[in-house]
Amino acid sequence: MRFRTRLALAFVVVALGPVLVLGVGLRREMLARFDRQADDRVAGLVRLLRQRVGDDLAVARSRLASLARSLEADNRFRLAEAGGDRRWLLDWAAEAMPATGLAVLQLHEATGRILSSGQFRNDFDRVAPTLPNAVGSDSGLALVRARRPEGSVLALATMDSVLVAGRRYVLVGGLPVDSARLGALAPDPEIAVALELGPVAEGSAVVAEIPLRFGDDVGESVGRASLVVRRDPGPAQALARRLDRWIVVAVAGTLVAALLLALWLARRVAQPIADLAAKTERIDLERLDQGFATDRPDELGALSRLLDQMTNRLRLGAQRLREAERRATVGDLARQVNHDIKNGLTPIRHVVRHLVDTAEREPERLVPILLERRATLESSVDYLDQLARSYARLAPSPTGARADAAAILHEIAAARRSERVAVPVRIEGPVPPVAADPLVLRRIVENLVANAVDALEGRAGTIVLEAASAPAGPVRINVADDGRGMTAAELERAFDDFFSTKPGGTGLGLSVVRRLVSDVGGSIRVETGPGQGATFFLELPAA
Amino acid sequence: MPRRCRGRRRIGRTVGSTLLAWLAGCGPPAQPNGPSPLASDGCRLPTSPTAVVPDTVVVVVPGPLGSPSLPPDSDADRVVARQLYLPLIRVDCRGELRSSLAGRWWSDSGGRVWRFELIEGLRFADGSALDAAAVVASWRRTGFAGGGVGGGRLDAVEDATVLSASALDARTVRVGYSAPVASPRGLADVRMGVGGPPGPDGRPAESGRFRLGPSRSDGVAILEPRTAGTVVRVVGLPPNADPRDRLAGTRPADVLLTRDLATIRFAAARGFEVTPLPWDRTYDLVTAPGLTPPTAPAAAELEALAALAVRADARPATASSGCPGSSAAGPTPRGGVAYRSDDPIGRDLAERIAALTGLAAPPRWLAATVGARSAGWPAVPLTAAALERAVTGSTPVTVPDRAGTGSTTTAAIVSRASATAVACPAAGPARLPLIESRATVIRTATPVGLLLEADGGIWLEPRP
Repeated sequence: MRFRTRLALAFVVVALGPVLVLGVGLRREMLARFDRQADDRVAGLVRLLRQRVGDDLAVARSRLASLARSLEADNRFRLAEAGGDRRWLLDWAAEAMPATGLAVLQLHEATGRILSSGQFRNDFDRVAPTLPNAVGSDSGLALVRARRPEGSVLALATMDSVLVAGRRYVLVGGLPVDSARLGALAPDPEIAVALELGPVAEGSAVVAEIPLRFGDDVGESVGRASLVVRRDPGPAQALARRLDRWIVVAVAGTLVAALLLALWLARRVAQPIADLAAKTERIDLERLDQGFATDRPDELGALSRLLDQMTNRLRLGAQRLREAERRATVGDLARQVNHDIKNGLTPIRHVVRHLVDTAEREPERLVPILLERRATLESSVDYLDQLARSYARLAPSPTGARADAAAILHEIAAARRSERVAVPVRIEGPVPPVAADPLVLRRIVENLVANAVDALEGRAGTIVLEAASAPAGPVRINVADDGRGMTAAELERAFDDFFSTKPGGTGLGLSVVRRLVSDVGGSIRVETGPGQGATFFLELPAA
Repeated sequence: MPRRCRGRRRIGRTVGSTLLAWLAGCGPPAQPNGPSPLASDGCRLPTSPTAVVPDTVVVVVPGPLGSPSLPPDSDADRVVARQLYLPLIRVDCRGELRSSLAGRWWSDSGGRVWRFELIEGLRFADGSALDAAAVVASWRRTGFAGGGVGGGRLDAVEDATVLSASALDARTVRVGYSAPVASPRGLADVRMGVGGPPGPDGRPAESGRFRLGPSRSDGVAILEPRTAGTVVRVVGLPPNADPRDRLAGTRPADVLLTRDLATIRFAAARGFEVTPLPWDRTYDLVTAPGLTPPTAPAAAELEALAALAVRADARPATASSGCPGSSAAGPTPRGGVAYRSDDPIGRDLAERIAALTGLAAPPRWLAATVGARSAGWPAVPLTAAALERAVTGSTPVTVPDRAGTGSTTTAAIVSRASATAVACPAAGPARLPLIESRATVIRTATPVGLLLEADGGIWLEPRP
């Protein structure tokens, strides 16, 4: 995960957490407070409704009482009931009702027959005891639905009575009531007041209920009604939705701000680091000129200055290393030259020793043997001569060089063959030339043969030189001896520089072989064991 | 003579006997008649010789007053139009034909064709000649004489249809009927008033004793005498106004027309001159064809309707002008009893019918119509146009029933002129006459004379 991603995630987590906690907490508190306030308003409204109902009952009772007393004292009523002007009686309730502010006014006989109806003038003579029955003998309060010409009217009604000439007349009257009028008492549109003429429906958001007796003159029935208070859940839900929107907006804004801030900080912090990384990546031993100097006062500045100091030290160290390497290369070259000259002088030494022995024991054969070994001497001298020229060039052999492996093997075998050491050469089939300088190939094989001779440790032995090649494959050259062989530890370090198991050995023979084989693009491996001799397998590219 | 007209019962008996005689076929003589002297017809309320004549006489009539023209739309417009546009003849409160524009009239084909000779020298208010051609042209403009078959619409006021009207010469108008009529009294209807060529305001020139003057307010018509006389200010009383208010105060109405019983009693108590006019309005109960038609109520029930239900001067109607109706199969329509919203008598009747339908045991004459036990029909006010559609059934009128759901009307209270012959279509609704009513003219002062007509109309006689 990249640094800026981690930084962004960290900022998002750190910023969003408090915002979410704050938002959810505020939402919960506000909704709870909203509910509490609504409950308080509902409770206040219920108190107001009960008071209103009680006031209406008192007002209706007072007005009915006044009407009853005036009716009782009115001769026209007595005359009308005695068969006089009945029109006056029919119109009495219609004229008295608006004067008293009542919405319902009926004058009944004791049998329930309507003598005069204020809200329905022509509804006379109907036997309708529903409203008196609903109000009850206790002259309490009832919600009544009375007939009107064009429909019906709801009223909170009560009852009074008049006793005239031994006959009892009942007055039923009430003040108008309807949901709209009651709804005006509600403190806000969220709370609604309604009259339910029957059972209150379940789950209809009813939060309070005031039961009432109900007399239905239209259906001519007496039952129960309710004054119900409903609370519209819409505003609370709307408030919750608005809060949710604000929370979402706050979270989104915080998220964007956190991301932008994180990206800006990441860019501000990571860019110098990336620049340092790029500069550092460009540094190697060949390029130590990268500068890190800066005047930043912060930690990055300190790091840059530290890297600059380190680069300077590396630059100095590399100079010293190159100097040391140059010096080591010269020494190594000198040792190789020494080694190669030593290898080149070994056949000559053998020829000279052979000639000395011959001169001491068989002087007469000195000349023939000299002639016989002349080729070896000349070959060694040529090798040294070429070796000298080769070192003088100090450069790899030119491209396109070809070396005859079989001829070189034969020359080396002839030079190394002695009375105690047999050096047979086995050539299988036509062997293509090796794509290497002949001197290099000779140095490789010469070193391996010299190493094999050393492995014989002065004992008589055989060194087998083999060359073969597969079609379109490399040239395989094997050098096998039956000398002392190598232990595993010796084998592990056999190709290291300056490793030798011989007293006075340079330890350069096999390391030179490994380097030269590598230079020509070939490979070398060895099979050996203690007392089992050693066989070196060369695979060299064919020309 | 004024004393004769002051007694309502006597007038009622007189007009009733006259109407009965008229309905029995006792029309005027078929021979040419001359103009009858108004002073001797017994239908005149004269000006008091001692009355102080003001500059303007105020006449208050019920109902909204529109733009008086031909034909008039409302009762108030009819009062004004009668003063502005004279018909050929008139029918006085005793039912006798009187001269108006025509000085003589006669039939020479057994009552199928009638000829009217105009009084010589008649002119419209704009000065143009009022001749026979002008009369025919006026009828054609108002649509009561198309000049050919089907051109007349007098079937609403006459037993037979006017088929043609033509000018035989400058003074003679020929009127042809679809069937012989004993009397051309339908031509005395206020709708048959004659107007001259329309003026710049589109209103025909006046042929009566008054011309329409400029008015400064709605609901008021200024009538200016064409010769000398007092200016009459006719005021249309709004439906919600109490007529009694116009009989009191610093400037009470000189003449007030009303049907309100409380107002009549109030005027009588104040000592004003109270004169009932002829019974001119019949109220019918029209029931929808889907209902069982109501039977004829007993006389006592009709008497109770007239005496208790309506707050107007009313009496039981004769059932002879009703329609039996047809019993159509199908579900009983639910709805209400409709009435014209500006008609208080119609409202009272509708409310009483509505109350009767809500009884546990409706009266026998209505029981079959109401059908099963119900909460009763509501009384539903409708505009005049809607009421007409509800009655004719041409367009269903939706009214709320007592349960609050929409339904078509079940019944309606419809008023008509008492003399109007009712056409009963074969598949039409049942039409049951319930009561008749009449207006009363109240005079607080007597600066203007009145002529009383058989159709309840009045003629103003400006004092010279």
